[in-house]
Amino acid sequence: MTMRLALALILLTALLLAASLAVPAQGLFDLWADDPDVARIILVELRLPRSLLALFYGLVLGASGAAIQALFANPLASPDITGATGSAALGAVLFAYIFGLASPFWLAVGGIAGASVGLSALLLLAGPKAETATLLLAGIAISTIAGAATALALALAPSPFAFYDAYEWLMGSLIDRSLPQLAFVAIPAALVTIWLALQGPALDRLALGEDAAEAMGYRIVRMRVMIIAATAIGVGAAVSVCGAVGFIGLVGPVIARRLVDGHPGRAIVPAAMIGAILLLAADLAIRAAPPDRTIPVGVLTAMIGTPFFLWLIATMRWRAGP
Amino acid sequence: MTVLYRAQGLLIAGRLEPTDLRLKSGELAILVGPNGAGKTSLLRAAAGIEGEAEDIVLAGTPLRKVSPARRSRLLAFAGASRDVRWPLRARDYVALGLTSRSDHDRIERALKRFSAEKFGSRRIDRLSTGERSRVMLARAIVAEPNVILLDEPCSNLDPYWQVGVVECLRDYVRSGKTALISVHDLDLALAHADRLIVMDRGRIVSDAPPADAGTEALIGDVFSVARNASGWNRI
Repeated sequence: MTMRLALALILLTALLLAASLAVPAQGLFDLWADDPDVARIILVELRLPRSLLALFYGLVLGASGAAIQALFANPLASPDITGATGSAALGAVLFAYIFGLASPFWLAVGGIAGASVGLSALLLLAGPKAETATLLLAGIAISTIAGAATALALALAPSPFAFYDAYEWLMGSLIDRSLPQLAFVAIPAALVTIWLALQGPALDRLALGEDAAEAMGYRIVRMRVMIIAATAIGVGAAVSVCGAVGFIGLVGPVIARRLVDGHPGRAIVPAAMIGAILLLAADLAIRAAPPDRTIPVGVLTAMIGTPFFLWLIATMRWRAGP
Repeated sequence: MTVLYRAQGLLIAGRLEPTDLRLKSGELAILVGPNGAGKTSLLRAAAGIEGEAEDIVLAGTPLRKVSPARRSRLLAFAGASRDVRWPLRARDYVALGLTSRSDHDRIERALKRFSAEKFGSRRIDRLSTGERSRVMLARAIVAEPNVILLDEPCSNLDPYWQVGVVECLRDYVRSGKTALISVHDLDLALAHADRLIVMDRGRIVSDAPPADAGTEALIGDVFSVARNASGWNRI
């Protein structure tokens, strides 16, 4: 990544973060003039967690997507398409049943456990050098079973009210999260993103083939397990707080690789930043909704991401020939 | 001649019997053997990719203790596969063979060795298989390692480049390096090897200069072929 590119991405992230804190601005300015204390509370306890959740969730989705794509040697792998986010949501819902919705620690553990199971199942089903079709089919199978089990859990929920709560949470939302909940996303996300970035050189060498990378001294089997574990921790914790936000982990790395001459490992850092930029932008965009309605941010990312996904498949097909 | 590579007890259960291997500087060793003889297994075991070894020593250091950063200058391996996973530019692909900072001179030198600098800026997935083979070989030697282990470096190449690659490698080892490569073309192997290692059923059955008396007869035995006026024929 060149210096200019890094600066541009940092600047764009900072700009969107500032916008995310400030928008809508008019009400906040008026309030600030009236009652600075209340305004400060709104800023620190409502807007700051929301903005930082978008930042860290976006970072970890981008970095994890890039790492999983490099690991499976497939540009279509990402936390949501491989079923990792879906199984994280299921894990969190199951743990919510056992330990209650109010316990962010156990929700995070559930999310991480779910994502670990999902990604391990993918590795077993699709294998480490997955053909696109196998990878997508395995991902669909895992997503479907996780989705069905989640729906079953919600259908058996004790009260319709609890069902609605969980439904909104699973759709992917950054609103009304507390500072401790933010910590459960931000700390794992930051650590996992940094660790994944350090694996960049090894993941680039994996592009030479497993044998060549192994002969260069990289322990591929251990690396595969560690990357899946790290991704499960980062994504699982984030899903347990914010629900499943789709397609950021797919789109971010695809754009990032174009900025670094196609290197899968070198793309991790820019992919993380593009992930953050996309999620911050999506979260800003949904504020244009009517004031009494909220659109879950996951709905917007899915609506924008799905056409992109289809375009990606189509171009891959054209390139490969009939 | 100093020993650059020394391995004892290389073993892959079911495919490679316990084998010792020494490679000396300045030496091009060519590995021949029928399909399934264990050539790939020996090369993979020698590179520490698969199987067990009592001991692999590179320039006085046990292989397992060499960090990736140093290892690329001591040993390189390239498999027979010509698959590529990511659409990198050929030059960037070669650069991945270096673990230190990207070194422009070395990359150009490696590409030039196989006359691949012409397509250095093209995407490796858009090259022909033969061109891609040469880029992959350039990747293997870019760090100028002491020991190179190559599985079928001449496959997918036209006759000009089959000889060209072997001559390049011989030229390379003359600067104090060593190489072990597997080759299917017996005449190519006999003509260019300093040492001809013949494998059969997971074992080394002969290891001698190709000019040695009896080498040709042994090859005939192992491959069930014989040489007459029209070349090698089945017997």
